[in-house]
Amino acid sequence: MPELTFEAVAVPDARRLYSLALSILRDEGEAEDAVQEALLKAWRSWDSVSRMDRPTAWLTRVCVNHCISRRRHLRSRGWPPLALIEDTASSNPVPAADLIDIDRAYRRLSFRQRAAITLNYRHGYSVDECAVFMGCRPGTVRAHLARGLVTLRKELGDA
Amino acid sequence: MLDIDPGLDTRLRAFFDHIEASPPPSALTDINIAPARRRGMTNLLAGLTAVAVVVAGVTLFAVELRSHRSSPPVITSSSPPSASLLKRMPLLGNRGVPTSAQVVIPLMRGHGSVRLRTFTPQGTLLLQFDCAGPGSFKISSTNPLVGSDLSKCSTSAGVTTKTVGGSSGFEGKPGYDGTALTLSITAAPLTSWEIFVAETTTWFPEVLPVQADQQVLVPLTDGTGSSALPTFSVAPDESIRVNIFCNSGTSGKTLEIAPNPLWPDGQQVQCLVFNADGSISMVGFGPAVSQSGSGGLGPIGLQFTADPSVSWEVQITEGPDGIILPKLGNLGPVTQDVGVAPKEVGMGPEVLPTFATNQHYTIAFSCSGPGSLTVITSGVAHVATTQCGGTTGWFTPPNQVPGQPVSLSVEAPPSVGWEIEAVQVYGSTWGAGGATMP
Repeated sequence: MPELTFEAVAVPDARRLYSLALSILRDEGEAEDAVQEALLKAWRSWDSVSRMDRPTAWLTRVCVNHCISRRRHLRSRGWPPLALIEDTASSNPVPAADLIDIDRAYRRLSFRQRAAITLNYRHGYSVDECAVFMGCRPGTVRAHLARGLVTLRKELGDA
Repeated sequence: MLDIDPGLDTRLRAFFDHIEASPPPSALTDINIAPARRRGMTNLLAGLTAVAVVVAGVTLFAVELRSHRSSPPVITSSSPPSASLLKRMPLLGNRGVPTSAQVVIPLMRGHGSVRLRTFTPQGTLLLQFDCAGPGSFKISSTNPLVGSDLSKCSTSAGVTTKTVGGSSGFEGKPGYDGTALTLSITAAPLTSWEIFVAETTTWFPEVLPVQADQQVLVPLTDGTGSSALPTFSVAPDESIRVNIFCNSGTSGKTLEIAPNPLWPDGQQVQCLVFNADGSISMVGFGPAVSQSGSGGLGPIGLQFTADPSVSWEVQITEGPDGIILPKLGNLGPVTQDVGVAPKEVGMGPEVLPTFATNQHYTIAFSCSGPGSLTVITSGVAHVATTQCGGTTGWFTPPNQVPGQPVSLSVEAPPSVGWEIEAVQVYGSTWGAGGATMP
């Protein structure tokens, strides 16, 4: 079995982790910090992490945990600002104005709700897997998904 | 999968497409691992890695260990002078030998080549050895699971430890196959050595040593099954570091933490699982970090619920997150931030050692706790932050003179923990003047 080096496993995973963190935090700087945090922890503990059967799952958990734990810290500083989506690819079937509405509605969700929706809906993880990544029970994940969906529908006028 | 109506599905899909089209910053995509930095990180964590861990698999509990062990090796009574250079053992990490460990080979000292015991590993093997002298030293086993060498022993080698992965064995060799193994030492006649071997079925990863800038909220505690931990509170603007591990042997179980002020929804920790092939599944591996916010947190009383067969350990500390330099082009924490003076950690006011450097430097810091941090360099006060929150900041003192001694001191309330390091400036990101490109 080839040696699982930090360079071979963690570094290529940075892009995926960044998308994940950006989906939860909706702030590029904070998302970068979250990935840096995950990579640094992996670097410091690589002897242990590399022996796991799924090192990338561990990275995902650390990254998600960091994103979720930012909640209290960020709110105390008046975060987040509501940034507008300025650039929309022409291939995107949804108009830019609609994306702004979705973004505004999405920002109404808690970080835990965003994490649950991102992991389950976007990344396709099962509820049980989401529970591992988020450090909670599967029932709690289901609750976050349900409440998040209700909020999105309400904010978007689909309720 | 989330059951969602087609209209919202289309809009959400487009929304996530847009997010994922955002390119990550170059600091994340162009990470270069600098060998010098890696060595530095290794040195910083030397205390952490003072345990040699060989994962040999959990097997055959009914087998009596002693029946597999042969007579001990012959150790010569007169040792070369270099024997005095050997470290005091066994250390086995910052906590010493785990209480759950069973000694397989008691501390032995000798020199030259020798054949050690034959035994069948019954769990996680803890192996610690050291050598001193002018020649080479090698430890190996009839089963290739164990193998390590020091091509040249020296006093700087210290206590050498090795982590050998379960199913992959050592350096890519086959993993443990459940059979007995014999340890052997091959060393030059004048090379002194010592070795200690133990094993445990309730192994946990080592937690980071508690630094001088951290306060222990819950000391390292182990237990089994359900339990209530002592109540603790977290000061305002603190970073909380939680290490919780649980071990359920060969079956996957969880440790439930009831809702509390730290985790309003509670937590579920996936226990380490020793797989049949000798590998370990550790998705639930800590540590978790959180912030206490401006109002602090507490009192917090963690309530664990777990099967009696689940063993666990926990340690909770508060203190700075550590210096992490992000958003600096390619100068992220795993690239090329090179200290020009040793990192200092502490709490409250302190006068730090003077340093001198020919490099253009910046002062990086991380602090936490209620209060502000002021750093004074050569008599000039810099208010580093008016509110410590655990994150990293930095400033570059003006009018730097190459080679001139720089005095450094800290003003902070006794409750503020801090880490400070003078870091070499690369490139133009931090401004011109004296920068030295790698």
